[in-house]
Amino acid sequence: MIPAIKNKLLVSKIQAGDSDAFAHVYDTNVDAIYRFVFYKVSHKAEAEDITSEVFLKTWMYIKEGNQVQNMKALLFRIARNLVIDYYRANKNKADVGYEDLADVLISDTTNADEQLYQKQIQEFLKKGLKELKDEYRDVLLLRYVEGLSLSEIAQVMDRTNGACRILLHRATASLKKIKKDFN
Amino acid sequence: MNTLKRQFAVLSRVKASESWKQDARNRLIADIRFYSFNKPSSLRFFKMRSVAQMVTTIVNPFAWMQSGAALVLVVMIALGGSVASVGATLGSLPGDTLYPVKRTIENVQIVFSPSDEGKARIHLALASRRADEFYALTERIQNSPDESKTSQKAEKALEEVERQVKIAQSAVLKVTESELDQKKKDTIAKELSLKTAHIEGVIDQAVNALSQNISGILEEKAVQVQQDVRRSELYRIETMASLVEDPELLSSMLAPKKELLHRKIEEAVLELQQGLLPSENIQELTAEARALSAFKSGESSGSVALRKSFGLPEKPLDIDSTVPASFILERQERAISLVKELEQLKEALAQEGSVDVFISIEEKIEQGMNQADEIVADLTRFASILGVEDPAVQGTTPPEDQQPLSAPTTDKGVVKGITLPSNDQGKSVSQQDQPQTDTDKMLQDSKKTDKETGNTEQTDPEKDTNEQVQQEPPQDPIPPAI
Repeated sequence: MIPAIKNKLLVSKIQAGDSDAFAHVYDTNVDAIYRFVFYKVSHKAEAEDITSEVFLKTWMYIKEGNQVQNMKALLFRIARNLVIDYYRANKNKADVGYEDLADVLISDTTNADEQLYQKQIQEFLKKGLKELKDEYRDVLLLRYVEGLSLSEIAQVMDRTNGACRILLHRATASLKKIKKDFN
Repeated sequence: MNTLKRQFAVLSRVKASESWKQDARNRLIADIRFYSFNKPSSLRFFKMRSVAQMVTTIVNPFAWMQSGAALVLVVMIALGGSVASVGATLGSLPGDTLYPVKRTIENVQIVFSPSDEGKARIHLALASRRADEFYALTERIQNSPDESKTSQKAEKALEEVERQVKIAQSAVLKVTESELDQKKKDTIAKELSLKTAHIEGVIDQAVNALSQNISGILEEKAVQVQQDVRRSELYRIETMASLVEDPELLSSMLAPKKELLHRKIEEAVLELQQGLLPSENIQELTAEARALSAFKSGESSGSVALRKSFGLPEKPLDIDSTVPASFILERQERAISLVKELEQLKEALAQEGSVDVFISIEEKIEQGMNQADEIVADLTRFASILGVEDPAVQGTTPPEDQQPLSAPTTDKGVVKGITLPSNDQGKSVSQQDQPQTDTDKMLQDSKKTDKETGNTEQTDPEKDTNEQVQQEPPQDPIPPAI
């Protein structure tokens, strides 16, 4: 079945109240959403809460009869907005620096490998991502970690394709500069 | 660019925990089904917590627990419950109409947990919840128009806290004695550590909030419960130690407790430091003390002249000599040495050590803090009487006293000296009564404190100076006013 029709079918099932259909959406996307949120809020518990909320809100959005062109983009957009709300409500919370990383890494490798990965990620995060502007971080994550297409990113960020391309370009440049300064 | 891409690829290794994922999925499905039940209009009402999340606040990975929650949900729906009433029930406090429903739900959850471990977890969570309810009520007191009624509710909530802590205690102790799998015991230990830290913190906050209020009875009771709770077996480190075998795990669980103690030491040290009297006062008091001991050794030719020869003002700085300068100085010294002791304990705390060592450090910290409380109270009294203007000092004297006593002569706000009596007459007459009662109180207090600290080396010189002082011509207890 063509993805577009598949998507429409899914959406209409959800609107009709088919909980399995939405469970499928959850299963397919929960890891990605969690990851995205985690890199923005850096706390496991908050990431979990917000992720749950993302799905609930998405479901409500669909149930209210709204159009959905791209499920993934919708989820990320809602996730991004919820994180913005969270920032606003928690201005004074200090960014502790990804301490929950150990709990969150996939434990399907041997210990030595995992430690190496953990170290790599922490290094990268400390040096690079943390310093970036929120927008830059978002586009970089969406593009290089989650593999969203440019038009999908545009939907998430609520901008034009062209604007997102420029954003990506600037984001990469900014990241490089930060790493350079740090070294 | 390539390395950048590679590094980003590394980031994709982060994943949510499977158990949480499963939990969240179940909750999501439950919510969807629940909301499908209700009219769309109520969808907008709760933008935050999902229903299932609210009801199953005692998270449990076991499926049968979910069925307990499902049962509750069914009951609520059957009772015509909408999303709004569910939320209202779960946030309700003692005295609210829906509170009994909340307790009923809790009891259902208790019934649904067959294992010792499950029960221990629930009871710990409930104890924590009772503490939260108590705190919420104390907040209400400040805002409510009907204060006495809310105070009563708060008192009852306090009793419930105590009760639930005891229940949790027996549940946890049962687990320690049982033959459960070590992993389960470790889980309970973790819960124990988290919940007890939370309860301690919440009650502490409540006590602080209450101390700014007029309702002294509630505050006293809260402090009492706080102490009882602290001394209960639930808080003893031995309980934790008997649950956990792995020493590393044990020390990581003691971490929140250590942090709490660390913070408390810092607070106590700060209070002590802020309570210290300024050095100008100390210098003058030291001079006084020396002068008085000189009187002791026989040279008593006209006190005023002798005082002048020592370069002292005509009237003693320690107002009514019922609190001799030496006593004030001793308190100051004690404060300084206590700060050092507490700092040392703080360092000892940070080091890794056996459980026994930790327990003894904890005891010493407790003692140190009690002493700190006393000393700060003493120094505060002295400061307000001596007229030290210090924003950090919260004097026990009533506001009417503060103004004439505070002397903004220098930027340090220290009382420099005493003006000639003739200038003071007007002011001093009106104040004569107040300071007298104060100093009477001081006399009683200082005698009490002496007994408590059991400081024998102090009593002798004090007796002497007291006697000496009574022989001097009677002096008016006029506070040095400017």
